[in-house]
Amino acid sequence: MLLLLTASGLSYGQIEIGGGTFSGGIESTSQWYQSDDDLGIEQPKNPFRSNNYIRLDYNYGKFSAGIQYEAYLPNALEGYSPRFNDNKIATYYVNYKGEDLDITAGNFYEQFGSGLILRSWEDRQIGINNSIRGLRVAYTPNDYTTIKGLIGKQRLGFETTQGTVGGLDVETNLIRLFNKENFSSTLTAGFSYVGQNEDYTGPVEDFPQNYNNFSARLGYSGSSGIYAGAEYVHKGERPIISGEQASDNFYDGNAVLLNLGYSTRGFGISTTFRRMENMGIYGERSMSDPALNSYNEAIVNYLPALTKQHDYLLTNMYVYQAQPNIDANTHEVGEIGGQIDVFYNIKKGTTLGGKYGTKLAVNASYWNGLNAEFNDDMTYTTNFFDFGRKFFHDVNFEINKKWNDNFSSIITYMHQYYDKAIVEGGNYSHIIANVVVGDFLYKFNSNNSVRFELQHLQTKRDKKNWAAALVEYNLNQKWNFYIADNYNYGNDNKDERYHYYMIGGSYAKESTRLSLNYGRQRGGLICVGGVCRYVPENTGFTLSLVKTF
Amino acid sequence: MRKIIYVLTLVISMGFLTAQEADFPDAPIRDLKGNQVNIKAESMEGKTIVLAFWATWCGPCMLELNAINDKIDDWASETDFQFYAISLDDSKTVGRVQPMVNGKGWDFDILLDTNNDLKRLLNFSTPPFTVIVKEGKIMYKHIGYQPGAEDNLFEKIKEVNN
Repeated sequence: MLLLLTASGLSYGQIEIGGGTFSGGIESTSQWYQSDDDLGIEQPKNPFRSNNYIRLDYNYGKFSAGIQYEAYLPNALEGYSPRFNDNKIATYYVNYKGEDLDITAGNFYEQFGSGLILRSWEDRQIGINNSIRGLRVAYTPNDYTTIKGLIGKQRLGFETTQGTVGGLDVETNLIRLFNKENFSSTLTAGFSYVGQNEDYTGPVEDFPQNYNNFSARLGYSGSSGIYAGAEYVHKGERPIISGEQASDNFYDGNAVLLNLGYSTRGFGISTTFRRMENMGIYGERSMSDPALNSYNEAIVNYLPALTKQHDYLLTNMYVYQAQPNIDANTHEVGEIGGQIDVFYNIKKGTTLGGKYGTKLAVNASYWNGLNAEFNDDMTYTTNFFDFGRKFFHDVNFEINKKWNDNFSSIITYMHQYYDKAIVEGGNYSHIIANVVVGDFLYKFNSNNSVRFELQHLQTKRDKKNWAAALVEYNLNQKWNFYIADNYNYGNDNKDERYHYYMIGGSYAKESTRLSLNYGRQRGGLICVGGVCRYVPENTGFTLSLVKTF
Repeated sequence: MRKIIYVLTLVISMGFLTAQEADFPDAPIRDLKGNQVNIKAESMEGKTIVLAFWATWCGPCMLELNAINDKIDDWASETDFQFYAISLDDSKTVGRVQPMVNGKGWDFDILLDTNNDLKRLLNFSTPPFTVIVKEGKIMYKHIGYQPGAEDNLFEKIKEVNN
């Protein structure tokens, strides 16, 4: 009710209250699920479901405060954790921001280094909010040094985790520290500590209730265009949980991340190497059991798959997820591999560059398990540099060409290797797939344009070949209409050669966007920023509204 | 059921809200070298600041930044503004930002919002998202990109500068 009153107060367009200012945003997605005889989907008992997020922030000078109200009415959309089962204020905070001191009480978001040791963030599309509820203090004595300390419990649905997490992070620029005038190169050094505590009341003696994790990092960015980074994390030892049973042995973990890159105008290259062994860190002991945590809840650190984030329908068919944990069944203990990216701009006026230039991008990633030898007592040994079972590779390139003022095209080719048994579990053989995408944009004038995509995926395994097409029309800078189809024409079973069709439109004006879609969603992993959520196949209507004010 | 109606009414009534000239949040952000940039403080010095939030995995953002890059020299000769392309890439893809910017031949200043702190303060959900800031106030916001929207953005920049 309070919210309603606040909102009606706001509706008069006056947002200055008590000398401070209000701002906020809303995001609402509703789905109406339907039966689909072809796909064998029965309409769920509650066919209407919606996820609604309303955020309000109030700012007065150095002070600010805010709430996020969440309503899953009457249930969360399919594929979201059943813990999102209520409608109430889900996060709240009060913040003071002075010259060099920043203090937050309530829910806050934080990242130490690259997040390998600690990251709390929100991603509504995949149902992640692991904000920490507690106290955070950041001290910035100068513009190149930050010291941060925090303590709290992570959000888990509308509750918080059993465990408590505390952390300390220091980062400074060593060049500035010793030479106040040098701004052309930076050499940052950082150190983090993350401590965890969770009570244990079970029968095992000497069961660890406190865990300590450390990390150190260095980053260099030079005036010549070279940059490099290194990060090492040590995860304190603890039992692994499998089938709700804690292991007798305690295992520690570690991660190494190395980056090296160079770029100059018209050319850029970036290389990454990462090795992780038993690196999953969770804010609650029971959530470290993979079988009980299929919604990525209560994660303390961020371990994304270091692969290209594709954005076409068929290039997102086989999506890798990082494999950081010990799996007592498959005897895997982590992953090792790397990624390389090259970007090149062929200059205007050359034969290949044409009038507007041609942009090339190449990406390749390669990921393997670690070769681990397990002993009878379930301890194991592994070498640092030992590539085991191959999990995934992706080699892809993209040519982006503008032909004239009205027409441009992007051609993408991708070759993939995907170990479905490792990534999705179960008993599957690996999949090799080739995907080609053509993406064409034609502008009629500065307000109207049409874009179309043609895609093909070839593979001899899984559901075999797919073809996809999309046409989208942009009207008057406000309206957009599209129609798309994924067609599994190569399926061995002729009765399962389904079309996954979608039709929809949207209206956007300034900071408001409204969209409506109807069609079939192909089930599978939806991945945003490297974290994936499994979405069941479904058919129906989707209505969404986003607005900031 | 009553609660559903309450919330949906609230959502819809808020959909009609318009709030002009909200304060831009006072939150420093880092550039590619790790140096701090304070957008609000910079805008208080009189210069119009234009922000385009993007990510390496966002197709419409690529279209938008390629289009702006083709025109930004012409724009700069007509009116005065500072343009920042703010990457929302997190640590999965942030390594691609610098080589991509150079490899595509973009001439912008790039800022990194790696844990999306500024995005959260501005309350938008996905890129592309463009903002014009002047004297610490948000003068214009726009969600999404359609080919040609860069021309509207330029019109707004000129409006704000007049």
